Amino acid sequence: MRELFLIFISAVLVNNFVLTYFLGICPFLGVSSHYESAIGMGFAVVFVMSLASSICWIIYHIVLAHFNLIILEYVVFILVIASLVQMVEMFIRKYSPSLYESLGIYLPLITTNCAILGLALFMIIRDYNFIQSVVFGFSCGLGFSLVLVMMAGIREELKFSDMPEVFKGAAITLITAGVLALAFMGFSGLISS
Amino acid sequence: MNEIIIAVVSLGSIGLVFGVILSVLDKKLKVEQDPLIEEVLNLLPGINCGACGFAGCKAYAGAAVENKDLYGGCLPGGKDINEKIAAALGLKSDFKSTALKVVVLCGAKSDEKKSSFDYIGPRTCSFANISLANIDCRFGCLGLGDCLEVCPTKALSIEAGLVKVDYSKCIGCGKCVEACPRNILKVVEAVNKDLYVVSCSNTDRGPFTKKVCSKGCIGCGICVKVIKDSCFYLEQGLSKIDYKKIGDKTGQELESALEKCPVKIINKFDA
Repeated sequence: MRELFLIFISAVLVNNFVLTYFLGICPFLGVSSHYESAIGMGFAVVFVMSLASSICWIIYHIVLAHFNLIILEYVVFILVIASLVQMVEMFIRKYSPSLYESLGIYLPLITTNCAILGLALFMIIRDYNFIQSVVFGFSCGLGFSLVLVMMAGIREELKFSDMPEVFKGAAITLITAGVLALAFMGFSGLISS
Repeated sequence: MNEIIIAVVSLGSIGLVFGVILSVLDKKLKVEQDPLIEEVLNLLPGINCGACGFAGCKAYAGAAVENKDLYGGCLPGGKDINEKIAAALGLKSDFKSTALKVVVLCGAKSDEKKSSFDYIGPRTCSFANISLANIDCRFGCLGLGDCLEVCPTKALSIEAGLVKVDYSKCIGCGKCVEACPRNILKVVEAVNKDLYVVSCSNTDRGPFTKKVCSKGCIGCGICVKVIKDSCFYLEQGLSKIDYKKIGDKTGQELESALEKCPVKIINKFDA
């Protein structure tokens, strides 16, 4: 139990995918301009990550490790992730057209999102068991959503702030992301092991 | 050899399983979309200006297919596009050739407006307006081009310290109206192809107007008198045009007002 809790805290705060490993920067900058679409994207990523970690774990241990095909893990993981994202996209288009509109191009981009491939690879490297992998996937997704929603909140406020012309747009967004990453570095001493 | 076969079979079967799942889901979760919506959307200009009152071209296309009374709402599209949409929706087109255009209520070039100061502040109208400004007239065009930046079709330009509208490009979206700190831009409905404008917004009395600008309305009211039931009217010593009435007036009547104006500030544009 303690192990799972540590994995959770580590993935959400200490080794946050976006701000510590710099994975998944594309949707982090692309979908964070509106609070609502950020929340939608966050949920989609949590869903895809939890599902991807469990299915990748099953396929890795049942098929790949069994047949000694570990060399093919990249291809298989990408295949799994792409199919999952396609499924999520279908569900969202069916049940929430407005969310589908606002996510736009970024939903298909989860397919090639390094954060999700990174998740699957980390899970294998760290030799997690099934429960740990699912918790790891879920908490990585949660960490991603947390940062995405924080960023969206800040960017919505930034729209009303008075700033020099040169900082407007991409510049202030990148600066904000950097400051957030600095802030998250404060968590780095949280778990000592 | 054996390893290759195992790899091919296992990867192939993983792919097959996902493929089957996806194709089943695709059938089950299919979203029915009216092909008409796409057809209308392709006809629309796609600039998402919002002049129709919807969030963008896509929203308008969806609404127009559902509620056929809404057709003709695309103002930038003009006659051509609205007729095509009507044909696509199976309606008869009765689109009036009215178009929204922006008019500039100031006609003074930089040598015609008096200026007591050398303005060296930031080159934006919004700043010049709250400071002492680069021209003496409290109403006229500052000519620093805040409106140029917001124009989606690049229809505006600054010529000799005065904003100029390229009417072939202007779609009447009104973005520049919001950008202008002096409120000298106004969106009007040009019913005729000709667009008449009283190029001044100075509500000061004649002598005071004269002091700051040689192209200012002195409020003499000749334009009101020269036409019967005139489309011109005076408000706070400034001549204005009632664009609802101007459609009934003949070109000749309007020409006469244009010529009688002592300061020659009524202008005609080819919209």
